[in-house]
Amino acid sequence: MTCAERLRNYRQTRRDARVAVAGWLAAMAWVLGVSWWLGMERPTVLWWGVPKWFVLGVGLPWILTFALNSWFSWALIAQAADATPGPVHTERGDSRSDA
Amino acid sequence: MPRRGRFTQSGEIREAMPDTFSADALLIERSVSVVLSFVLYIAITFLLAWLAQRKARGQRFLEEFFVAGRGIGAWVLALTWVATMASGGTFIGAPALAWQYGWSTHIWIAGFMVITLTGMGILGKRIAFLGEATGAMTMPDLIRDRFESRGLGAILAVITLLLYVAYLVAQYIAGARVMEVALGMPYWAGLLLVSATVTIYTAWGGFRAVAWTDAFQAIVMLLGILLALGCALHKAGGFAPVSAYLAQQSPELLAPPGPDNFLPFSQALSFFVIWPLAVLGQPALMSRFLASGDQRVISRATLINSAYVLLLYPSIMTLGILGRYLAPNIATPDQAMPATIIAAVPTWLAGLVLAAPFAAIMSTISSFLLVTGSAIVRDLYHRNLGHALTDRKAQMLSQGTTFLIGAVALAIAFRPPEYLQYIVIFSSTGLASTFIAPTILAVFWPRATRAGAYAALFGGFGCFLLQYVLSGTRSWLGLDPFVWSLSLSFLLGILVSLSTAPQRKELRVAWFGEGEA
Repeated sequence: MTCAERLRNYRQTRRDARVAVAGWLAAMAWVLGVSWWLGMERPTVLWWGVPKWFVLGVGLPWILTFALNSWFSWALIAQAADATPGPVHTERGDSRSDA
Repeated sequence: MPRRGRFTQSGEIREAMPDTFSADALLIERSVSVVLSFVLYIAITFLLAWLAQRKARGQRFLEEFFVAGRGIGAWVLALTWVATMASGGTFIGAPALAWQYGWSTHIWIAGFMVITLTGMGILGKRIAFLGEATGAMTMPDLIRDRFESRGLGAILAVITLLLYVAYLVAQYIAGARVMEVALGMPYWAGLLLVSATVTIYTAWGGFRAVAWTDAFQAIVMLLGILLALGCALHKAGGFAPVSAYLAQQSPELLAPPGPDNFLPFSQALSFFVIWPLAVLGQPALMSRFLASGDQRVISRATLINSAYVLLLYPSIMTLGILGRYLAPNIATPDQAMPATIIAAVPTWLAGLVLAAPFAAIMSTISSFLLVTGSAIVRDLYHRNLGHALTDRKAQMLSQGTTFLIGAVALAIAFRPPEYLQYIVIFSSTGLASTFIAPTILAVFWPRATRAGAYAALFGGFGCFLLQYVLSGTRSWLGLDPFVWSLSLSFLLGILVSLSTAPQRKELRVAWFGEGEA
């Protein structure tokens, strides 16, 4: 595994991690904000027998998160197919010195 | 009793209490189909283990046994990941909560919507790459090599070993309880059956067998839950009568924070931190990425996993809510899931549906057995004590250790100590508080040092333990102790790293490349 591959993986996964953290914080803000705001309504408003706060505060972001996650994963798969060589098999395990 | 008794990631506390899930309380018509489903289920599990064992022949034993030769594919990776994550508590404790507290429990579980993004997106590809590059087979392996510290590796291995054995005991108990309800077995017989089945196939086929059987079990889990949900909705006549019934019982069942102030805002916030981040500190979950040498596999697995989680977790909670309407007269909330299944699912299908919680328990046990085995054989015996391992010796030790740990957990499960439940409660997020910061700093921050890793490890563990002892599960500002201990762990890790000399340049270049080291 070359030094350039190590650097590329580090930078790419660091960028992916930032996207994941941003997605997590955005989802948290949506779920807690909308659920609490709409969940305070009394009596609880129902849509098709389901609380409205649940539809908009939990159901919708869950589906959106899935959609965005899928798009993100597809983009990474396509990107990896263009740029990344297949698995690199190196000598591993017992061959390296034990610290 | 700390409130977390209902809040652990796998809900093990509920399972650790033998008196909460009495088979006698449920009058179940145990048809031939239920027995056949379980026999078939166990037969398929052994068939998969046998196939995995055949495929492993001729490979280097240690790498095959602990990381399946780093060759598992996207579907198996995704399904083994989620099967390990979902345990007996997911199928018993979570619906029990939904039965008891109504719709607000959907906010409690909502953090799972990003669990794939954080679990796989933050660490998955990085760990897979580093595992391939460094030869690491376990998470303590990875940390040990990054900081060139045998001490760190040994401490992490011992903590994993101790806390996971407690988890194992709780899962054995839960498995025996499910067998009691499903097949009418006495507790001791269920315990022996669960223990023997899972220990044999884990020791026999190693990681590949665990991953393949996990994948099968994940399919059983999802099928079972979706079938149960469909039947329950049909039986109830949709959501409208259910919500009307809940509103009649208590309007608080329809909105946050739920009855008895179940989920105040501070706790909802805590759980949106706990679920997505605690997975990063679970060696059993993170070590799965070491078994995949190709990062494209991780990306595909992310896609599969997010669909699976979307289908599984909201369905489980909804089933618990429907259960309040369909099975209102149960002795304890723990019976919500089986009672709902019995009330809603036709008898001929009940076997498959009841196999779902059993599958969740089996998959978690097998994964934990493997991780505890690797902590002893790979981390402590091989890496720390420096003993050489031939393939033959590695096989004897690995399989022997798996049987030994299985036997120890079984012995404890026959007469679980009173304090077991507290260890289980502690271990769910205590382990995460210990592992997360050292792991993230190790793989993403070239400036992280050995002293910083020690500080993060002890800071997280100590802070969590202190808060847990002093204030239970609601700490300062009403937040969970995990939130504070994780923050302190990162803070200490960063400050101590910055105030100590960096690791040697060659090591940093090897891990991060020339431009960033």
